[in-house]
Amino acid sequence: MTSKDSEQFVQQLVNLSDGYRRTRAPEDMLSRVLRNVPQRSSSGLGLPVFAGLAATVFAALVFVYNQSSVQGRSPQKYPSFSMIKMPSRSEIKVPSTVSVPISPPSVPVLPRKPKPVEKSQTKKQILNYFVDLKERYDEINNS
Amino acid sequence: MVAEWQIDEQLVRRFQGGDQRAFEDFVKRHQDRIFRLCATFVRPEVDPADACQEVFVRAYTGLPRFRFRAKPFTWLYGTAKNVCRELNRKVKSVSLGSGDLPELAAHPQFMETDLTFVRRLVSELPERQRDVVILRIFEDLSVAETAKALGIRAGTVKAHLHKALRNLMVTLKKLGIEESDYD
Repeated sequence: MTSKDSEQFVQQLVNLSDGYRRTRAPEDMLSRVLRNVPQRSSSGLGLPVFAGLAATVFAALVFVYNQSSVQGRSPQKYPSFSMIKMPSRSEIKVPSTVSVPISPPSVPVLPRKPKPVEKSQTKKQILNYFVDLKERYDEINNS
Repeated sequence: MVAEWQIDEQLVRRFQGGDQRAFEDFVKRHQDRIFRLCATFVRPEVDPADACQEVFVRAYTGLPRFRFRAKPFTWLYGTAKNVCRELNRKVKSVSLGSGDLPELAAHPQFMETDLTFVRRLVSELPERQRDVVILRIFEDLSVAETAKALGIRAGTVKAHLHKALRNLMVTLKKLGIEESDYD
């Protein structure tokens, strides 16, 4: 296909597709779109602005809290690190001998075992229950 | 002179700054073109107006996060193709021609033979060639504009167009349209 043929062919396609280009979207397309879009805040900034404001307020609150707590503290009650006098190396006395008291080994106290329920008694109770139940059943049937 | 894509970028930036009117201008600028693309890509059972509406609703939610790595129209074009693909998938009852494009029947809403003709032609083309033909020939964009819209080089547009024209000749012969019918 030569370039001239190609040009002619394209032109013919363009002529044939005139109707295609004349096709228009419905008149109410914009209103349809606007009806269906999710709601947005009027400023358009929405979440970022809210987040920024919240962060600023939080930072201000933290600052005010810190200030008030620093002012309310008495230096005697909460001395700063610079006020604490650390003993010098020479002031620290280390005893020459260290005596460790030796206590006699303690006898371990074992936890008491719970008193086992007598099996025979339990069995007897269950048996009595069923006997009683059967008697009642018989009584109802007989009456 | 300000280029078309620069106007788009300005509108999108204004919209990102909270200007609702900019979005409305953006819709008005592109609604006809997007509607035609949708009418070309959707199956006959799908209303192209619904598809077009969905494209702009997605634009409304997506453009605030748009990073300008592509041209706004490129993004819109891609969104339109995705929306049409999704809507076509929903109406699976009708068998497809080639790809995900509709069969040769005319869309009931548009009895114009030209739209049917365009649909017939593009249904036979590979995706990239189809994009180039629609934008370059049917939408009458320049080679540079087509390249910008698709995010490819001008040389690539020409190459795709050349291949597409060859394929179109074959398609036209298949459809029984001879050269004498063009005039």
